[in-house]
Amino acid sequence: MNKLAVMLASVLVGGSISAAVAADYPTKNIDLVVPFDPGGAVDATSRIIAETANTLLQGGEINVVNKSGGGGIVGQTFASRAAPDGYTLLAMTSSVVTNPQMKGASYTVEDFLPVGLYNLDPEVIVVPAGSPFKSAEEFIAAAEKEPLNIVIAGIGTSHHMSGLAIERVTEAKFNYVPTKGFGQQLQAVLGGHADGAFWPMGEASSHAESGGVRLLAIASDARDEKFADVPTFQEAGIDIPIWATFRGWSVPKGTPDDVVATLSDLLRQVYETPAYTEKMSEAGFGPVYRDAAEFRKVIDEYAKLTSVIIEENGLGK
Amino acid sequence: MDLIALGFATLFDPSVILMLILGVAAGMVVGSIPGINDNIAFAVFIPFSFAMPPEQALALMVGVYCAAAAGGAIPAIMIKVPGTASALLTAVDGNAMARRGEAGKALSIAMTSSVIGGIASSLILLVFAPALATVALRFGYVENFALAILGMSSVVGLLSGNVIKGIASGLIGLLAATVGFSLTTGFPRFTYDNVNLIEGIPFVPLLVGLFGIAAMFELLADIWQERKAGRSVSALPTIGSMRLPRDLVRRLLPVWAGSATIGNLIGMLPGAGMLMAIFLAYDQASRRFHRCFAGKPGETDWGEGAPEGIAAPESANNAVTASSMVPLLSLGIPGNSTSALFIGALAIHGMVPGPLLFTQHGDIAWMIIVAFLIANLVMWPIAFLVIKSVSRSIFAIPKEAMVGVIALLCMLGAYADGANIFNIWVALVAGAVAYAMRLANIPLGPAILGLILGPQMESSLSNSLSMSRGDWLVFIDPVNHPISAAMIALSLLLWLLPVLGHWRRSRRAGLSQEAALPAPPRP
Amino acid sequence: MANCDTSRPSALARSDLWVGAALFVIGLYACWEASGFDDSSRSYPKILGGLLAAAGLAVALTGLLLKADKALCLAGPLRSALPAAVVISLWATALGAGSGFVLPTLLMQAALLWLGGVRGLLRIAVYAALITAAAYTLFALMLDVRLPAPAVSWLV
Repeated sequence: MNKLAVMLASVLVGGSISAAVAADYPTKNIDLVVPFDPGGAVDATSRIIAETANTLLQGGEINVVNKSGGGGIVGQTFASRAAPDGYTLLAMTSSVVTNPQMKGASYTVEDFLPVGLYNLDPEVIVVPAGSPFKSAEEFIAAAEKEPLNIVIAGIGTSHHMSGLAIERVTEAKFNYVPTKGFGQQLQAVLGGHADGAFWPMGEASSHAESGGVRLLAIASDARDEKFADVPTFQEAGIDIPIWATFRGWSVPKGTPDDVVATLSDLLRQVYETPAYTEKMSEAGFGPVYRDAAEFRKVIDEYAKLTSVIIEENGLGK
Repeated sequence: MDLIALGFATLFDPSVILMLILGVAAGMVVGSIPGINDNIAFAVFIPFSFAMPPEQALALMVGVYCAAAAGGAIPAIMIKVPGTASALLTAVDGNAMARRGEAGKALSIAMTSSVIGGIASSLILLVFAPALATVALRFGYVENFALAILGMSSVVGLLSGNVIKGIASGLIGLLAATVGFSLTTGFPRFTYDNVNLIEGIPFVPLLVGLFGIAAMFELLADIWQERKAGRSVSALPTIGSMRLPRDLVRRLLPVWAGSATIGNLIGMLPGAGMLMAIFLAYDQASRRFHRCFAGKPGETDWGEGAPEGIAAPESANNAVTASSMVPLLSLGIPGNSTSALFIGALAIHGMVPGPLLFTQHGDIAWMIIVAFLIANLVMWPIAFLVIKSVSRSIFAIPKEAMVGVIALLCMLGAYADGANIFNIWVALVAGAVAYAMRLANIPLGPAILGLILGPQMESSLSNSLSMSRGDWLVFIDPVNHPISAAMIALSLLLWLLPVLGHWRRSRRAGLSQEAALPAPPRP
Repeated sequence: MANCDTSRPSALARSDLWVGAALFVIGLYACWEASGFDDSSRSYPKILGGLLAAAGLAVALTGLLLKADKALCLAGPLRSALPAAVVISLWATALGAGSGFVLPTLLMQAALLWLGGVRGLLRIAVYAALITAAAYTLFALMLDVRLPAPAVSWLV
């Protein structure tokens, strides 16, 4: 009788066995570890997600916990060593991929299980509003003649590597001007002290909209809706299909599959909430959703691209 | 004008104005607790603010920002422990005055100066913000290097005693600022394979240690000294009367004007920071004091309780608060590290500072601007209330028990910035080093300026040289970089003036001081 | 440092000699360490270290030549500040080792109160409890700071 009932029940409930298992997860609050200071891009997006997720989640709440320091390594290491029970999530960014190779972090990418991706921030080529370069072609042509002074967030950042990637596929040469903090980079570009910059779209968009800077090309497979006249890298003759930093969730290796599935499903539900997508776009972060498998592909792709560049340029530690 | 009215309308919503007043009161308390400063307060508040309407959250932050810069003076005066870095210099003359039994007067000077500096800069923010913001854009890498040089030169006024030790202190600060991954190649410098040091020595715990923990050690040694001498431990000064005599107000007017001007100018320049404004203003005030008052009957020495020594740094630091928002709101470039935190607060409400903020969220942008004015207006009465109530009861705690309280607050404040135990060690080591420097008579001021300006100095130098393909003359190029050339010249002047003054005085010993120096009219 | 006993002759009377020597050593060390950096990261810290060593030398020489007027008095610092630093170090180690917040903090406060000159077991206990409770309320409850996690769940 019992066996029959269980079988019957499982047939009736159909495919939603994972939901039945997940009924006992979560039973307490979940920590979403943000390895950066409050107010940054990762923190802001994490809080927007947590806000919506907490309206959907039952049995516990998602708490954003800031553990900053060491360019993200402190919080990332903390998350990699946390108990794999699904109660510690990491707000995973591209730096998780490069930090072990470049900064000697003790974890590896394999220590994390991808859960889902919620934002891709493609790289853009930015020039001051008063710049003589009207198009990406002119920009590259000028850089082929004489190295251009390009503002980047720092040596070995994904923005620096995007420049190195452009140097690989074109004859262009850049003189990198590492400038810490977006405010100071903005000062250099708005004031016309540098020839251009490689920025993530999320940070560039509002300044492009207000006319302080001009976007020349976007390293994405499709044009941005807001800037329909800005070509993609490939359209502009730069053979890089996508160069984007990513933001997503991951959990420590060893977390049960059903827990990962529950979280992944939660992230999808968040993405399907209109209030969430609106808030994300308003803050300058294009909302997307990729499940665990897709997210893994994005990570692997990024790792493949960057490891070549790191090795070729001797950036590794 | 309509827009300003819109700002007022948004601000005068009862819940918003209440938040502003609450923020001012909270900021006063936050500032007056050693170990907690506006940076730490914001770090813990920004997550909270997510659940609040943006206008309330930002009004509260403006209140905290303005008042914390003033509140730091309270413990600086009462127990010589600066509540925030901005009260570093106030502690010298302020505490000396308090020990003379005039704590009330010292506090009164500090608060009045803060309010005056704050109002001056909020008026500038209100009226000239867009026009002045473009000044920040004239500053490229070359100018930023010259600015850092000018900043380092602002300590000259402090080096009255031993010039070489002052320079050594500045070098220690600059060296400590090189810890972390090198900006030009990413090479780990002085990190000893510790990931916590990759981005440099964590800054907030470092400051907490240099000010709070070092002062705690000193307090402890003082108590030990007193107990050993067989005296009972002297009580903390009582606050007493807070009345400001009219002639003192008249005497301080020029100091307020000068310091507020310096604070406003420095505040608008990204990368200069509050401390640079304070040092420059202090330097100017000290020159004025030596010219007009030193050696007169009834006057104390500089550093022994001179009212200018309180008025100058306090009006300068509050003049920085609102003016640091000028480039932030107009361009999106923060004037200093605290105003940078407003970016985060705006970001979690889906707003980005810059020109678009005025077109898309004009109510919020103008609300922030007028909030600075109102915050400074309500700060004066609130400051007195807080001093009369909270501070009076806090400083009734016996001095012996105060030591542990300060230590714990500083350590937890350091820890709270990133929830990292490593920060506690940073604060402890920084405190021990600062205390050792004090024992060795090495001034701390230059080291702190070095720490703050160091990263900018190195990166702007190497970037300038990389962009000019190694041409060192760019810094003094009067055609392409006139601002840089002028600042380098001004820095030279700051170094040479004391030397020249000394030389002239010793040559023409018979002449009066006024004749030897280009003196402004006496008040 | 107001009432330091300067009457006793001691090597520390020429304090600037030692201060200068210390600065000199620190400067040299920084220089030496910086020589191991890569080409473009090296010169700036190396120059700073060299200048610091030179400044240290100058301080030491002036300390040697001029009759030192101010003696370095270490009794106070050694008997009060140093023990306090040790107490704080032990506290930080305990926090890091997962012994929770309350117990180490109570002990640390008691030790600092004793160093500060508070006497009487009951008084120390009451003061320490009050300070610990106030700090816990302020940071853990009001400011929502995650205090270091204890290793076992029944500790706070």
